Amino acid sequence: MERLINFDWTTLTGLCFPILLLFGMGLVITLVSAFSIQSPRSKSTVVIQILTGLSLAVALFFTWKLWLAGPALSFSALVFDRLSFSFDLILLLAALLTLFLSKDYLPSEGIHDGEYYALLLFATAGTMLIAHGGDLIVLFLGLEIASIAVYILAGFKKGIIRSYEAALKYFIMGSFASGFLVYGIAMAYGVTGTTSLSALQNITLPPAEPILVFLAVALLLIGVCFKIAAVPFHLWSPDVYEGSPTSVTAFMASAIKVAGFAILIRLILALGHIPQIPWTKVLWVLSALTMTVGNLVAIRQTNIKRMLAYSSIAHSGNALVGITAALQKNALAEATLGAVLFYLFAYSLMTIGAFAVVIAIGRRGEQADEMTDYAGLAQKHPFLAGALAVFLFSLMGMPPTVGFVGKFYLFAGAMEAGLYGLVIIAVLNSCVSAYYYLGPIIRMYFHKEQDYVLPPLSYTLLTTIFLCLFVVLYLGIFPSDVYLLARESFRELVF
Amino acid sequence: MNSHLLTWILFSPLAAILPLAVLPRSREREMRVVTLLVSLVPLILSIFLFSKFRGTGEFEFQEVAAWFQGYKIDYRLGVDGFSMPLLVLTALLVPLVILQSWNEFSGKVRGFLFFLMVLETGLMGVFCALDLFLFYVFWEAMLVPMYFLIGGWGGPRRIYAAVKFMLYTMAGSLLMLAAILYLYFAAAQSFNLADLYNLALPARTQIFLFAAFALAFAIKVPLFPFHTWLPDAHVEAPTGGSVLLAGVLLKMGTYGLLRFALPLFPQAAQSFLPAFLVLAVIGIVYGSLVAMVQPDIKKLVAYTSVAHLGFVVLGIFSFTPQGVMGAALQSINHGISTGALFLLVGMIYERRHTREISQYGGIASVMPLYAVLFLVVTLSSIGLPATNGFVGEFLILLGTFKTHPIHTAVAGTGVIFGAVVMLWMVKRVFFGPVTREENKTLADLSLREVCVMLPLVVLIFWIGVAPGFLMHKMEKTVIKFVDRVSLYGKTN
Repeated sequence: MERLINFDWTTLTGLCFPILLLFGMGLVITLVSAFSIQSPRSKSTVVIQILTGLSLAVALFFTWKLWLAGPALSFSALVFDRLSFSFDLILLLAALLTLFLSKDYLPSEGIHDGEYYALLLFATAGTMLIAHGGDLIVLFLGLEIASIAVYILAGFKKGIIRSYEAALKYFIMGSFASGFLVYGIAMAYGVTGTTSLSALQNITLPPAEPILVFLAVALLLIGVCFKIAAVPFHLWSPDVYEGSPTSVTAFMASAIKVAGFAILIRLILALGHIPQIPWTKVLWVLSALTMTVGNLVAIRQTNIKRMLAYSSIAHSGNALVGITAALQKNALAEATLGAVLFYLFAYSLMTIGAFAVVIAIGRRGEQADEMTDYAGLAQKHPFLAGALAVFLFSLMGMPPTVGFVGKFYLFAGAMEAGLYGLVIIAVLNSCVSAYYYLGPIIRMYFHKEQDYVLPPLSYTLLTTIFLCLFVVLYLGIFPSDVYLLARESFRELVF
Repeated sequence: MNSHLLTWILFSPLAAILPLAVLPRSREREMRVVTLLVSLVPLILSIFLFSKFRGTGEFEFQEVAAWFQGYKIDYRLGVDGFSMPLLVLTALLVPLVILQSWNEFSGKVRGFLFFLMVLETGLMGVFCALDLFLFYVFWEAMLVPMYFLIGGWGGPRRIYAAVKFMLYTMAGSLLMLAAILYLYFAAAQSFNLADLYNLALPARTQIFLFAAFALAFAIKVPLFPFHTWLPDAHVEAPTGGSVLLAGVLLKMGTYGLLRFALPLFPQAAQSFLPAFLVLAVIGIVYGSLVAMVQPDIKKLVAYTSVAHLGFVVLGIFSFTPQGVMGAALQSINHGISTGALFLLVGMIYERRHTREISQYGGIASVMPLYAVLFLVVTLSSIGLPATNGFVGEFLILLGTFKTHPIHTAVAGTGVIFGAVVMLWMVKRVFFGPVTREENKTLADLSLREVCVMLPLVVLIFWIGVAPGFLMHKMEKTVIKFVDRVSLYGKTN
């Protein structure tokens, strides 16, 4: 572990290049869209889309190179280790897929603003900043950049009340969460005199002020739980998921959630050793509650976006099982945290795939995100129905899909840590989840088809669905390599 | 090639997916032909394998390849005396199902054949897997195609039945997953069955793990209080689904007991023994009695399955070589005779679109060939000497009588009830005058349908008269099993 005291600007710029690229391109796109006519067919829209895609792809490529080079450098406020690059990879992939979804979806919703793409880039860059945060302030900064961009994106369906409601609700709840987080940071600073994670990691606290420490961690945790929609801080998410443009929902369910977990993982890596905090007990209860409430409420949903929102809550609970297990083992085993990372990756792809199908169905004209709109889809469009069925089975955790493997790694880690009760709660929850995931499948395959015309699918949408489908099935059968990558990410951590 | 024979058998059914996907929707006949041909591949290969199978009591034709890194999970296949016959049975029933459904499901054949072939791979995988994780993957994965077969091609209440089937079996198997994980970390650090067999787990741990495993298997069998999904699933499933459900799927439960639950946790098995014996006997008597009052032929046969599987469980828990051999044999027999019964019920349903017993009567005079075959299969099902059913049931009762005479006596009444149920049904359907106008013009079996029944009828008599060819191959496995369970179960 090398520590650079005097700043080496060249190195820093090289390492930050992907983030800087996204920020820079975001600014360029803002300018381009400000000075051009915005219509669906206009050249500027196409140019903007290409620029966005290109910058994301280049960033993805460089991040992968950096992952392979594997530097473990800390600039105190910014850290560059494999963990952060792994998060970058997931985030960039999610953003790229979101872009593919948006290209087709936005015109059908009458959204022609180039700013959408700029905001998408800003949000991605913000989440990447979180992944590299070595200081509580940087984590907060990244979160705010990402959140503010997504607040706007959530309200992008102009003239649609639900979208406005989603944006406003997300904004108010998100501000609350940020408030908690800032308050927690302030408390942490008050107790320890530092906000740097590396300093916090090595701190030994005097036993005198347990309440302040407890309060600081509790506030930080509440802030994070809002972002990952853990019960009881989840109430915003169904409305926001339902009201937002579907492509934005996909982004929220994948990238924003992954970023939330990035904060959580950094926090427990830095603060997990503090004996005053009953980490495992708290997270045990949180994850059990999140899984159970998420799954039980999902049963009652009739809107597929709402159902996926509750399923997303439940999946946060699953990932929390892994984090609880890692904390239980004190040593913060890389195998278990690797499982969490693998699961986040797997979940992102499954859920983006599912939303991609939702978008594809929605293209037939009227709003089509009620469950009943899926009746007889298997006859009408076997490919879409089959793809959605695979994604739902994967979310359910059926072999041979990546959802099963992800759950296996998580539960195996929890079992190894001796959390038998939590594993049993988790597997019973999987059974409950089967009930509502079967809902759309029943409608698609066993109900009579409706009379409507599904317009032909665009290539970008097809590519997205194919890609997600391939990964979900391939990793379901051969998960070793990606899992080892995920584990490798935790080998050499720096703050 | 010889060393990868099991893999070939396992995945050859999936070869049908490509032509099914490519053929245009109107070419249904071609789809059926291609799938039928593909389904003959695993049949021929597995018969070849059976002929090479020596029955040493060890796992033969083993294949190993590393699969997951980080955990000791391998792709590990192999067969012994318990799994070999079940493998052949599966491979045999699938082509028959395709042939039986030749004129059904026009307009949605593609999906039916697709799920059928996926199901075949899943079922055979369950019987071949020697790695606990791999076993679990097949065990769960096979639910999906079965779910679609019931839900997509079944009767009026198919959705209810399909969901019930899925949730019921998932609840059991997910707890088994927890137990499998516990087993890995608490004890062996391995999913390899051979390693796991050598464990000596503390008795308390065994109890919990056995409970989780046995619940999953008891639901699948289905043992008495867990049987409620079965009649629904059977009645609503299409004929092909019912055949595989009764013929193979239920055997996954008894196979699981023989392969995993009992040998892994022999001490716990001993302590759960009384409960299982009682439940098995209740299942036998209850199944037969409930079957008697069913107005629907298919539901009647479904309930007799509960009774038959009760016999199998009884034989397994006798822990005597005769009883276990009888149980293993009866698993196959039930697959043959109940599979044949469902096929026959499907044939008449295709003609009259009803399965109500009261809708028939005097069919024997209209469809003599059909009546003969039905009677043969019925007699096999109730265990008449010279048919396969007799051999299995007799061995079970013989073996169990040695250790548990009272249970055996009560179970013995089940044999009588079973006969009453089936023969009474046969009388009402086939004999007497033809009461209904529609039944007077029913066509007798076609050549295709006779071809469907022929292999099964041959097997009924072959196993009934000379069961040696099967029993020799199973003998050593059975003895090894009994040794394991009774030795480990008592020493500690």
